[in-house]
Amino acid sequence: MPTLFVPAPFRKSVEDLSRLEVGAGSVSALLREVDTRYPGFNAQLHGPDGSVKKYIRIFVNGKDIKALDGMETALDTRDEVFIVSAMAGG
Amino acid sequence: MQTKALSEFDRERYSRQLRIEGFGEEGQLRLKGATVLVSRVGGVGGTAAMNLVRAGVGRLILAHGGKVVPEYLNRWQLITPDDLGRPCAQVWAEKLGQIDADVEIVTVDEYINGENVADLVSRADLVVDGAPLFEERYLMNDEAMRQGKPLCMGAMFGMEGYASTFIPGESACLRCVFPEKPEYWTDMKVFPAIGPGPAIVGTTIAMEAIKVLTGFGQPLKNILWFFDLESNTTRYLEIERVKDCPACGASRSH
Ligand SMILES: [Zn+2]
Repeated sequence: MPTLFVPAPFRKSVEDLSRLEVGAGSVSALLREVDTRYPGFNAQLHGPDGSVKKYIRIFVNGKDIKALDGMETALDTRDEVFIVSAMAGG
Repeated sequence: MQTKALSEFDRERYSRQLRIEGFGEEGQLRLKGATVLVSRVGGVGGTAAMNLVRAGVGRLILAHGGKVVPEYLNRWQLITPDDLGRPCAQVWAEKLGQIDADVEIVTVDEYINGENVADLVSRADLVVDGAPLFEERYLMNDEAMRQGKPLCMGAMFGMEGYASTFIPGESACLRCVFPEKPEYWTDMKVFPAIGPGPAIVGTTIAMEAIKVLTGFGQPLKNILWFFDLESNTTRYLEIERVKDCPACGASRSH
């Protein structure tokens, strides 16, 4: 099953887990599935216009999904979806 | 960058790093002739500054407003309770001077702002950014890209951190990756921190600065190196330059 890495700012909504296994064939399907398990998860990532917030990047196997097929990037069982949220802590 | 000759003491002091393949005496002289601007001397920037001085960078400009307060003591590498209430940049200059009396340090008792950023960037060969506010980071990023100065960026949040090196005209910049700041990042009290996190980030960006200044090794160009010390996760994430990025895109000339 594809795995999802959840960064610290969004972990509260997924019972403090950093890693989830989610059966899904695309990034968007994966996020929908996580949101079904943990209602409200998706709302944190998306702005009012429905697009992913500009301080969040989503990677599949280390590649930005913008360079792949965006939210429709296909996922295989061993793929890893990685979410990073901008930080500035110094 | 000007270069000076190495003294006998320098040769001894840097003897271990002079043996690093691809670094050598030429690298050492480049560091000695370099000026690095460090934005904030906190857990990230201060650690970077300390490592840069130990490595032999000749000149540092330290920009940090405010005074040392108790909550800095858990992560700022060189401060002690005796420093409480003293201006941060000056305290740091003093400590760095103890590491190397020959290093030239310029202190700026201000954070990066719209008035000082252009002048400060113009006086440096490279910028190291460890500021805790996105406003300062975007100002620094935009100005460094405008002036064609490399920027080594590192940041953290709790157990997480990341670093990347932005080379104008060659790689992605901060705005390419994160065009906007998180709405929850309202002030510097927003991020939790414990010593090792910012220390790893600061050490990493010091190494990045050393690589860029000397030309040895592979800087983190178009790579966001991410770690999470809580779940023991680290990844090299590929980032891309955005063609019409307002800071580094084609509309900007270099
Ligand atoms: Zn850019």
